[in-house]
Amino acid sequence: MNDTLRYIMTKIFLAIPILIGITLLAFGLGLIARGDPALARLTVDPDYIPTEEEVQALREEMGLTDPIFIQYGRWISGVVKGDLGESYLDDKPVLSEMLRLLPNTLLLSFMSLTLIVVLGLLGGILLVVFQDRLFDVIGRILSIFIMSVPGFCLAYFMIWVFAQKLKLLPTSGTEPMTAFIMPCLALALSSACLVARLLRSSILGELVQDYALTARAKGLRKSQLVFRHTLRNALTPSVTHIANVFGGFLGGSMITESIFSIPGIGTYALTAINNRDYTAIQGYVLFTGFAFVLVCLLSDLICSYLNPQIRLGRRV
Amino acid sequence: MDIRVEDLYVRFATLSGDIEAVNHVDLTFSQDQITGLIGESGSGKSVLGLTIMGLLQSNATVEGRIFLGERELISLSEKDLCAIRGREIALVAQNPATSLNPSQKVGRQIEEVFRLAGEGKVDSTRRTHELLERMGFSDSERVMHSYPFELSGGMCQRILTAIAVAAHPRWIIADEPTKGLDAVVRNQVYDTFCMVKEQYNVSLIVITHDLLLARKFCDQIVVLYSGRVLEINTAQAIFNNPRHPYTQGLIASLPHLGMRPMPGFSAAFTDQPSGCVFHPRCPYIDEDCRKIEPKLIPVEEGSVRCHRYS
Repeated sequence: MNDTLRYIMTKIFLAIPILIGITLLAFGLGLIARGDPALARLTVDPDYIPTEEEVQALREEMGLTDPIFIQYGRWISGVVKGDLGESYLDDKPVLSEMLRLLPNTLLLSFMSLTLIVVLGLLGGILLVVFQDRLFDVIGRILSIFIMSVPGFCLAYFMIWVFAQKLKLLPTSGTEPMTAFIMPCLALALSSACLVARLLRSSILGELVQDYALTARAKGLRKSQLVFRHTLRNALTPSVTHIANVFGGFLGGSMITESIFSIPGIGTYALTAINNRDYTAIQGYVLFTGFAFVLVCLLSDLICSYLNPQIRLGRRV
Repeated sequence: MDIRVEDLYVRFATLSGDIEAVNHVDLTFSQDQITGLIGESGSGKSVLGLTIMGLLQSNATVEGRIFLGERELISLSEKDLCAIRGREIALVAQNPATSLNPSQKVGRQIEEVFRLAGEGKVDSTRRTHELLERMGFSDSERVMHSYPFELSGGMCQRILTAIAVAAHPRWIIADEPTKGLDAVVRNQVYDTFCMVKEQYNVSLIVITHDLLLARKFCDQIVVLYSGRVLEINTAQAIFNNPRHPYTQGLIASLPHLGMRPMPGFSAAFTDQPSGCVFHPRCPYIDEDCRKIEPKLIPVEEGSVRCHRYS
């Protein structure tokens, strides 16, 4: 138990420099890409041409003329207090805007995660149980097919079928809840297929290991062997893959959110990028970076739970 | 209950051609005896053991018959085989370090055998404790809660043996039980097997290239080469009076008998010599040896596959 705790603490401790790195990156991104936020803000109305003095005055007011590390310090002290600054565009606080849009993205992400986990695990296990039989062959071909269709094509295809022809589901928006079904499928299906195939091959890899022979010699049937012994050892690659995908979902899926007009983090970032709204972009990068690191941390902990050799590894 | 192998033939389909791992083997493993299968790597001894348990990978083709008492095993369904594995014939797999599930505590891996035999959780745990103590673990509680990688190779070997004997099988097939272990641990393995033989009244097939273990432990010895039986005899006769030139070579290569290596290598499975399989390495080679494959000829209490005894 002690070793386990130490492993978890080490992992959390190691995440701290990465998180600091992300704040530097998020801030630096704004600096590097900076056209001129002051100019951008003054030219929101395309008919108005500001004078040089006006631009300079606004730059000073926004603190853009201060040394970089002072700007970073000001920004980071705000971040720590939960203040990501105001949008250059409309002066709305970035954090509260993101928090307002977050529930939609969270809902979509978690629905997709559930779908990937359920379909991926179930699919992978079934493909192994029916290995080389019709189900396995058809499943593998079908999964390759779904994986090779880009998400947005799948999205438009589903809109055509389920919304236009069958009139079962709404084309866009967030109300009613069924509106989330198609975006969730568009987002998750290909990853679910990938997880199923990944899991299939890792279970098959485990089935030829020496310990599987011992287990079979005990008199276990194949399905018992898969569930009691090989599944757990085979899960690590799939867990890591799912964590990567889920981390991406949390940052909002710009394409899917746009197609289905879901106001989420992704569309927020897309608008911010189009308008060169650097505070918003910084906030977005910071948020997705943190979300990604935390999800990866969680997946590391799950893997260490699945494989005790990872957390007790000193004695190997 | 004897295990009788009749005209057993095992072939593996591989990318570099078919491999005939076991070539028309006839053998009887007598009850209450310890039979040693000896031969160098690739002689087909492990494959023979796994075939008896029906544990070969799916690229294997098996022909012939294997009888456990009156039952024929090769024609049995997977479901029926599952009922025989562990409960009637058990396996001690080779490579103790990798033959236990790395992510499961060893206690659970032993308990599983009891659970499969239909015992309750509490009973299984209690009997696992007893079994571990019998296997010479003084701190069975700690061992039960260890992962395999926290134990030494010799300890893992004893855990594997515990798993094999747990359901009181009639037969245990031990595949290279001393492979990769040092001399002290090899002796422990020997002691453990003697204890198992005595207390569990089990018949054993020991697959090994550890000739000294075979001599100490086995009643009968079968010498395999390129998937064929070259000689069968009592352990004493094999070591004191080896008849087949290959057996003679094996015995002469023992460290305390001069450590004279045999010339040549065993033939590749995909390119087997005509006539006697051993003729390219045989010091007594004759014209017949190149053309005609010798039969297994009974000589006194044993039998040998060599033209010199016909």
